[in-house]
Amino acid sequence: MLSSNYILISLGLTLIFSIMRIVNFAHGEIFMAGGFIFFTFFELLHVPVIGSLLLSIGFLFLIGMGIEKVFFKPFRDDPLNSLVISLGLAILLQNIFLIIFGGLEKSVQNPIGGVINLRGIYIPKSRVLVIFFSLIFTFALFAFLKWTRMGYSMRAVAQDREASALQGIKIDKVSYISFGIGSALAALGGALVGILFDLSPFMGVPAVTKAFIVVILGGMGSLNGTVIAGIILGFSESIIASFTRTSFADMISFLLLIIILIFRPQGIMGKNY
Amino acid sequence: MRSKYVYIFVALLLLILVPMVVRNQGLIHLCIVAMLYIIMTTTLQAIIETGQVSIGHSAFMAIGAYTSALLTKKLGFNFYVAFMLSGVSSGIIAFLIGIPILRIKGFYFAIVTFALCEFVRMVATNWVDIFGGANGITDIPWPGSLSLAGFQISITNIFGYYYIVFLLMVICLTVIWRIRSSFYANIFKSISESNEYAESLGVDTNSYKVFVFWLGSAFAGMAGSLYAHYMHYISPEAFSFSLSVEFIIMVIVGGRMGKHGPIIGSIFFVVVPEFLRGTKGLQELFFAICFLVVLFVLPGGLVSLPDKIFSPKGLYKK
Repeated sequence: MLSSNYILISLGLTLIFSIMRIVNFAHGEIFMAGGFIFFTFFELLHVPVIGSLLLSIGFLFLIGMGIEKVFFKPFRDDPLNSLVISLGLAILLQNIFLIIFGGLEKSVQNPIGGVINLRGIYIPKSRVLVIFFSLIFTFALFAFLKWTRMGYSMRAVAQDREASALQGIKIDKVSYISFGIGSALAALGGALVGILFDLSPFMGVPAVTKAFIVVILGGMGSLNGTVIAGIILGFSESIIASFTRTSFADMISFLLLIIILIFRPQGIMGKNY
Repeated sequence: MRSKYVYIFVALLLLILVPMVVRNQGLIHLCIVAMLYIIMTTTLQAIIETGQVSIGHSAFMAIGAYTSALLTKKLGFNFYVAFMLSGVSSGIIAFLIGIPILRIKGFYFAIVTFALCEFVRMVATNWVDIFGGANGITDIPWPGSLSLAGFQISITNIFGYYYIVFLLMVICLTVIWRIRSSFYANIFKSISESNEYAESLGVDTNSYKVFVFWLGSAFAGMAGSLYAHYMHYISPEAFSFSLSVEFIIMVIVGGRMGKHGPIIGSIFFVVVPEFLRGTKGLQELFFAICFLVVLFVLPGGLVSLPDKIFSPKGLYKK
């Protein structure tokens, strides 16, 4: 469950990084925004679960494209500036949501009650739903990248931007779409977290920290590596947390980050940037 | 050259006179906060100039603050010793992190400092026995008195405290500005322009980056110590990620080139949000909006504003 969530957030982050070379610190806030938009539709407007999930994804897809167009496009070739801009955006988004929704934690009513009995192991149905959705969208992303024309262009741009521009790929369009997809994945992650846990305007920063650890562990810009790293980090954290304390698991993951950077900075499957 | 010294001298004199003339505690409070911010932003700017954005600058402030608070409260250290040790502890941590991370190029430094910021906050929140958890540490004492070469300095109120902060700021600015105007300034400039080119000319870019990172973080630690003893209270939330970003915003809005940028940025962001007091959300929103506006409209920051207004050519100057 934790793994699937890490994978969703980190996939968006690594997609955005591999295509636009933006280290997007606002990604966590988009994740948070996804959760809150889901909350708005599901809890306040009483849209069914699937509908709210899709609406939240759709909204953040559009918002992501807008952010790319307005904020990041003027600084396309300036990684330092786009990094700094994403920091500003993170603060901006966090405070907008803080003002709208207040600082208190919001909880979403559990859409599916009950548990599945798997030979004595009880799994809540809502968790199954969450894992199911994460898997579907992860596979959808890979399928999209593998078999569609847009996916081809995105992979081409990730490999070499100038060369793919020479081949007639519209860099701007690819950038919008990939930023949109990245944001939509983060939004899905946020909405799924909203089903299981509480939502708070401050949850973006820890989320993006974890996402960065996953992305570095997997290798900057490598989607396969991200999935593997997400699984590794998710499972190891759950195991460590269930035997010791949650805070201890967080410390371990930070140490892991430092160790990875010292011994294998390109991560599990990454290239050297 | 001489006029420059006169101008610095007058500025120093004015700043020394401030607490004697102004007896308003609120204003002195603002001055102290502004000076602490100036220390933080000036050192941060020096780090940014080597081409590395540190997003964990507030983490070093937190490390310093906690070191100093714990040493004085739990172990009964003298403030002045604890103050020095807080700089040392931040410096050591910066050194240990800087050596492996700055060796790697790219964005890793930003991400690691960001993770460090979260990590420090988590440790301080969850390790309740030592760091007091989310409630933080309360009742951190005033510095007290110190006898130095026959002089008895006693710091028991806000006006006396002003001078301690002032002293640290002057030392910090002197060190950073001396480096900026020395031979090494060219080396730093070359590193920020092109790391590879500097390396090809035989510059050991790593050691310079680690040095600046270490120096900046040590000063940040000392500023954190001063912050802790001034507020008498620290909590993990006081040094969150958004504080780090605020420092970056101050540097960028003030102007990331030139030594006056961070000062102007700090003062701007201490004075203006006072008008938005009581609305915590709005203050931060104001920070973010200012920042985005400056990045798009005035990339040189507030420092370049006069240039831009008074000379049409200033538009194209960097």
